[in-house]
Amino acid sequence: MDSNGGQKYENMYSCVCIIDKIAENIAYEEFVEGEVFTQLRSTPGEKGGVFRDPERASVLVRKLTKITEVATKSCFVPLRTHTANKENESG
Amino acid sequence: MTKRIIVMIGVALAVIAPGTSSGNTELMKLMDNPDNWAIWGGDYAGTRYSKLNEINSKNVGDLQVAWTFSTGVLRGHEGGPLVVGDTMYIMTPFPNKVFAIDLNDQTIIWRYEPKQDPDTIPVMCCDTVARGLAYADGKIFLQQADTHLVALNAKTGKMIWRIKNGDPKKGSTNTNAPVVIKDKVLTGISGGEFGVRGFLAAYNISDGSLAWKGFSVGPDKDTLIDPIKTTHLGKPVGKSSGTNTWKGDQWKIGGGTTWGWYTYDPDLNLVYYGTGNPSTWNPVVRPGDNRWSMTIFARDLDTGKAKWLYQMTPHDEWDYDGINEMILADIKVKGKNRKVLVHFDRNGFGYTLDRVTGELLVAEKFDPSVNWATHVNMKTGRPAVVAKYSTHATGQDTNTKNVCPAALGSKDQQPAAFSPKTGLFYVPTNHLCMDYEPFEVEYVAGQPYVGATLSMFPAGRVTGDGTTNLGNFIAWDASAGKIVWSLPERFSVWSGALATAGDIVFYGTLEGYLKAVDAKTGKELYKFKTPSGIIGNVNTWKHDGKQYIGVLSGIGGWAGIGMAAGLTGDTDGLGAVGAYKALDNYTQLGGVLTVFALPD
Repeated sequence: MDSNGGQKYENMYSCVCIIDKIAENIAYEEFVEGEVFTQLRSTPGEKGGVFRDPERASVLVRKLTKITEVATKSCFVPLRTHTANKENESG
Repeated sequence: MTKRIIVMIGVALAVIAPGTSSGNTELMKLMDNPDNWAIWGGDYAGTRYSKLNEINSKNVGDLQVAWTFSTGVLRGHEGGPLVVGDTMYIMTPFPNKVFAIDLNDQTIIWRYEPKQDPDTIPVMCCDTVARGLAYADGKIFLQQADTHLVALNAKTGKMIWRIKNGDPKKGSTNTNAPVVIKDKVLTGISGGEFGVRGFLAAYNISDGSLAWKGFSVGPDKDTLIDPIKTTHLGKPVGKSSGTNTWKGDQWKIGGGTTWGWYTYDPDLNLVYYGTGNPSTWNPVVRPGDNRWSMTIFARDLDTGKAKWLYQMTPHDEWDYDGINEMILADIKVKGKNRKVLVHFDRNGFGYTLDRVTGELLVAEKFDPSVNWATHVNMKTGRPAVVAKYSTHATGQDTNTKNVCPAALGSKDQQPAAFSPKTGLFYVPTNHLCMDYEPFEVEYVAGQPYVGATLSMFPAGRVTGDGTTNLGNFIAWDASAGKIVWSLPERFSVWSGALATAGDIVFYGTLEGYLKAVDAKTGKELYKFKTPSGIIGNVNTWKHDGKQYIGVLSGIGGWAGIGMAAGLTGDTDGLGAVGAYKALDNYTQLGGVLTVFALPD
């Protein structure tokens, strides 16, 4: 919600919509697995290899990315571009 | 109230007799009371077993979240909370903040944030994790990433002393939890990927002065190894054992770092720990056994002198660091009562040794996919290496395929648990194999000295059993060297286990589930999805008559890592930062401690 205009009532619709659309196209277990691969691919060093190297990782990451993109579009949310965060102090 | 009184007596003793072994006495009293979780392993033996049984196999299904605490720090949250009386102490990954939390109302009593050189980050090989704090003598001991070891006043968070344990400019960093024994605080060093020469150091808790330092490799005067008295499988090691299996002066950058856990037997006065890989990863350029890398050490606490050693992986060719925890237990082996040390090595073998003499009793594979060696020769202690998986034999710039386990090992640092009630060990494991290709590298201080490229995949691809799981959680019989039960996990299990008198075992998963399983059968009794993946250790304590379970979630490689590290270029951070830069729009989430209890 933060990325789509903040914690507002009207923004809630698109978030719920996206999640519902994702849920229609992928089982929860697979979603969780895909999410772990997606988030942890950036783990530095040899450890991250666990999330980058296996075939299943690429398959699931691609699948989840595609489903999310379709869901985002069909819920009328503009696709995010790779821009640096304004508030760059997260850690 | 009793625990408060105990704490107060302990503090009072420390005031009356500073510099004596009061730290030990006080800490041992705290550890004896299961209401506390006063040391990383719950006790000196590293069993990670709690006598608390309010939460048990019958009611664990009713467990609920009692409260949570966000650390506000991204990256991998390893280790776990310490609980001493009414206070909890938590440490975060870099920048290594420390929080003291009042358990009566979950308010922060004090916080401490060290100023650390951000240049430390790039020399940490595998995310800027930290594995927790030590408590003793009214002090909290903080081992910072930049190698500073700091003693803080446990009541106020004020610094009492600070010393430097290494030099990040030369690649030394720290990730380990320190341990206090008697009047000394023990710590090791990380940086095997940078050619750092490992050591275990003991500092005096009163002022931080160095008591002794025993190197893993080098001349006898550095290693504190006695050519006659120190033994390897019962035989004296002889002169210069830390240099004579190295080519020339390669031992100087020989690795053998000590970034794992340290355990202690008060009756024998021995400290146990393991050493890491020899540098470089490329085995072709460092012929010989590379002693004493990949070795279990037993050192006298007072002098640091090595009593016995056992090298598990002579001349490492796969990065199977030997740093995993040494769990001390008294069990029957072949019908005889034994004081043993049990160790689940990265190399895939579960070892049971007599911890008095260092005699090798059991060495069996704790993951059926392990293939780099067929078995361990029980007389010589040497693994029987399979030629086609020897990255040295296949040679430089040749890809050695389908080696199991992968370089991460069948198990990494995440500590296992031992239940004296079931007699079983509960082990979080990896189930991965790899292709490994060594290449030539030059050593430059402070630069990575790796010299191998590798790629990892599910072990099922090699065993051909059609499985894709990347991990297992197993129960192990250390007398027989056999798996009792094994639960397949989608991902490697990188969380430390906890066993309790309630006949349950807890562990966390990379998806973020905290799971409780039946200690006897492995049957899943409870799971709850915490906000992020778990690589922390599950700990338990009692406050105001109620048992709690706590675990940190938050993992390295978390999507926001690029922002956390201050990286901006799209090619920084192994190319991943660019791709995930947008993800910080989603969240500012940091690591979270989730605390569970039964409903009233």
